[in-house]
Amino acid sequence: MNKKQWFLTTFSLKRKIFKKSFVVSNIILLILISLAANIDSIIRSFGGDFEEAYTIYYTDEFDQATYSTFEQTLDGGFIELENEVTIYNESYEITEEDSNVVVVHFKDSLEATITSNQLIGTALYNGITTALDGIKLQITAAELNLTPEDIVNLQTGVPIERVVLEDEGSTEIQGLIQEGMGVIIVMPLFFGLIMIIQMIGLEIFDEKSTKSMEVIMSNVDPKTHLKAKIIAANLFSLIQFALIVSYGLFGAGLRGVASRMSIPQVNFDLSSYASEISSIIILVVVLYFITNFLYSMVMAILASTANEVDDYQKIISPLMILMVVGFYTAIFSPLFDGATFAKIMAFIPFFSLMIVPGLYAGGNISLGLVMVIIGIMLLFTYLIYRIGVPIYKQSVLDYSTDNVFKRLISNIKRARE
Amino acid sequence: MLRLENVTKKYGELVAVDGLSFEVKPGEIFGLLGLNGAGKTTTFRMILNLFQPNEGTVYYNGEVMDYNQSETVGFLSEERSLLTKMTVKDQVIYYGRLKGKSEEEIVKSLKYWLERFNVPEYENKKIKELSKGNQQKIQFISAIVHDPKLLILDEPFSGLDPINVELFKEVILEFKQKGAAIIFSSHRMEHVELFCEKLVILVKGKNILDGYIKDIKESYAKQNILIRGSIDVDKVRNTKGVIDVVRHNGEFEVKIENKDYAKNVYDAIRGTDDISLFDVRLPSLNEIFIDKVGESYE
Repeated sequence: MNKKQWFLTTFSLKRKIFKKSFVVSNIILLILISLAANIDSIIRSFGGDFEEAYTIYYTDEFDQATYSTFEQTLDGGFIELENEVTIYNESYEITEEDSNVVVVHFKDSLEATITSNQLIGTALYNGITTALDGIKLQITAAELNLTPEDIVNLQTGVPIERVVLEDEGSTEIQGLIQEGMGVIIVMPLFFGLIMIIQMIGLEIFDEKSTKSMEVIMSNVDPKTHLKAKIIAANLFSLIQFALIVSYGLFGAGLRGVASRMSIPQVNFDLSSYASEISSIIILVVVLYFITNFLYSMVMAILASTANEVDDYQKIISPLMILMVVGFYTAIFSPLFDGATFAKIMAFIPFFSLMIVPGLYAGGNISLGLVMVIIGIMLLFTYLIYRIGVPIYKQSVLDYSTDNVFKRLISNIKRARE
Repeated sequence: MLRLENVTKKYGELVAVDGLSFEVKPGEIFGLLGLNGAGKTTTFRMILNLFQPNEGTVYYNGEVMDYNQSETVGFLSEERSLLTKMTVKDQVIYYGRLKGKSEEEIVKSLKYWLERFNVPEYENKKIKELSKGNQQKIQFISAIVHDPKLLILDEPFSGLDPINVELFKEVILEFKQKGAAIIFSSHRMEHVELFCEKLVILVKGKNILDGYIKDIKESYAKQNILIRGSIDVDKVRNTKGVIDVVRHNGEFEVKIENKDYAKNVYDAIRGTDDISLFDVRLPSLNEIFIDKVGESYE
């Protein structure tokens, strides 16, 4: 990178970062991510019904003792209840003055009534119904002379080992990720991409429409200028990505502090799926940066053709449509598992980023094919660069008043001369 | 310093500049004149390396002009070429850094020029907040902040009031005195006449007249005689060699085909008692321009 390109890159990067809008949006992001990571603690800190202690009176009409099952289920650590509960095995006539009292009666017809003055919390209600379900199972098993092993067998599903011979180990987590791909991965990628390419487009359009381009181009060649813009936008993307990750870590750090304050938390152990998740993340990052370069270049060429706001809006619309097509294909492809259409679309470099991670996560394409797709993307991006630089060179100084699409076509022709 | 040799630029079938040649030496101010669409901007763009000529070569300091030499060139474009959302300081730093200067050098120079143009308070103002005239000042400062050796000025006085025109003239003449080569384009012939030693007039991309202004004027046949007094206008108009007689501000301007006819006019008014002025003058550049460009279009 020569001195002027380095300057243009850093200058462009500084113009993006040292902007009030960037600082404000990142402060908002930091707050939102930290809040999202600690939403349960925040809800608890405001207090609510879950803080109240309940008294439960349990009676039944069975010959055998079911109270101990009810008590153990609710109070024995099988279910984590938010509320503190005291359970009595005795009947109780509930009055209007009784608050936080629940009377549970289990009839011999295997039906139950749960009586309380106020609506009880969902967690407590679910706990009581789980305990009643357990008792029902216990009684039914006793009537049918079932052993505890029989009950376990009845309750557990069929253990399945999923083997896909043509793939390198599709697993449950891949299916899980594939199902959530639309929201978890595609949405941020789509909006991230739009943000970056709009940034490049508007910066080039700004320089061109204010006629600053003449002064700039009298000092650096268009190729250097184009490269600087693209590198700056991608560096910005990296910085923003790193910042978002750091906000997530900060949020998680706050969560750690909160957990030491003995606030119960929900844990979802993903450690056993770490390798699958990390390979998908690496794939997404690689695809994202190649796609960023590709879209940035196309956007730069299109924006360099525009002289006025109307031109700019018109000329970038095909690119936006292309992105939306990729987005919807990515969102809907998990609904048609193994759809050939999605697989074909994955080979088109403009769509690969949004479709490939979902297909790979779902075990619909192998790692080998992913590598082929990455190869195609790299080759295509390079070709666009080789073809695009001469067009950019023609377009940045073209202030003719022709229709913008006509101008683009004429610049493509001139670039080939 | 700057030499154009048979430079031609075509846009498809259209020949924007056709075999143009001229030379500008250090300390010279050179005028590039022509109507709109004559090829002035294309010529500037070729000098600035924005376009490559289809034929011919642009030489700067004896070498073919390229991006390595752009650091000593300053350019003031006809239209505003400022990023209006930036502050004055950021804008000047942006252009100055592209000229290879350090930020410290640029800021130091910027402060000097802002003082010189009586606008030191604008350093941290956004360009869009400035008036048209003040934006022109900032644009001019951007063009000279790196102390260029070749200064290209396309309509430098546009949007300026007479006081600032004088200020600009002063600075341009300072650069000339420091040995910078200056190429100047303006529709205001009095400015060109005042500044330039040499010029070229372009019509449809072709050089129709070039050389030192003094020589052009002297070699231009048609001249004017300024007469103050009560003359017989019809008699003068019918005198051989007289093209026209125009009266303005109590004086008569008699246009003659060449200076040899001045004696005929003198003879025609001899005997008039109150003649207080009889002055044979070289034609103005404006007259030559209109005459030449008109002829060329005919």
